[in-house]
Amino acid sequence: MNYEIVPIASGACRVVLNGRADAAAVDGVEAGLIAGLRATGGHVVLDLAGVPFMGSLGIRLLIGIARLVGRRGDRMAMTGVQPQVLEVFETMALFDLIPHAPDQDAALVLLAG
Amino acid sequence: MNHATTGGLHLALALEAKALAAIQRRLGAFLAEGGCAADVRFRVELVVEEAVMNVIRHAGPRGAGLAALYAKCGAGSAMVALEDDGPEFDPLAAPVRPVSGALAGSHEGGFGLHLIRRNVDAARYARTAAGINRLELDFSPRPTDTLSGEETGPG
Repeated sequence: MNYEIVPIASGACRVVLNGRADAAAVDGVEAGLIAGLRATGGHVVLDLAGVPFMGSLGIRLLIGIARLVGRRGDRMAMTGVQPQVLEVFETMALFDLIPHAPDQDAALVLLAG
Repeated sequence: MNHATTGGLHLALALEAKALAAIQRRLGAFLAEGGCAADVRFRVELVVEEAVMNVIRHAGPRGAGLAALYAKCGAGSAMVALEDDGPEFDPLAAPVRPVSGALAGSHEGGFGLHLIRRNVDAARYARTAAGINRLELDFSPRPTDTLSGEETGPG
């Protein structure tokens, strides 16, 4: 799994994750991704279109990011969640913590609301 | 010992996360060849990930050194058994943590047991006389429209 942090409109940033978010992959990116996000500000739109698998450590990573972003007064939303990963998130009621939007524009509207 | 038989698949498990991807590829290929649908394969992959990582994180530091995976499939369904020689632990009886408190910082993990229970159709745990934890997991095809929000696991 790899990631990219891309500045977008209104001071927000888009985080793009690509690849399987299994335990080993999450362990490989977690520290760098958290450090990268600490260096940014604004809301976060997390693009998961390239993530076909996510286990509990991946979910823990997402919650960790949401907590980091929340502590500085910003919010995070997800986009592009693949169907099977979406079912996992629904099973965990993750959308109660991190909202999901159909695309980046909708996510930004959601986060601004 | 890693070999496929006509009756099923038997894989020795190295108790390290980086070795799990290769196991998952072997298991996924075995289940696909056996006619298991993508939905079943995905849930098997998810549950095996969680169950094996649970052994690695909790039993490994306390002495577990041997682990094995057995799999069988037929009529679109799969049965997976996981064994380890770590301390006795029943993942089907252990308390699970709801995700709802996580954002507020009440806890940071513990979601794996929840995923195991919600993604199997039946499960059995036994501690054998030889001191082995054995977890048997059954997976059957599910209609897509029942996958969300419906309690289907044993817990």
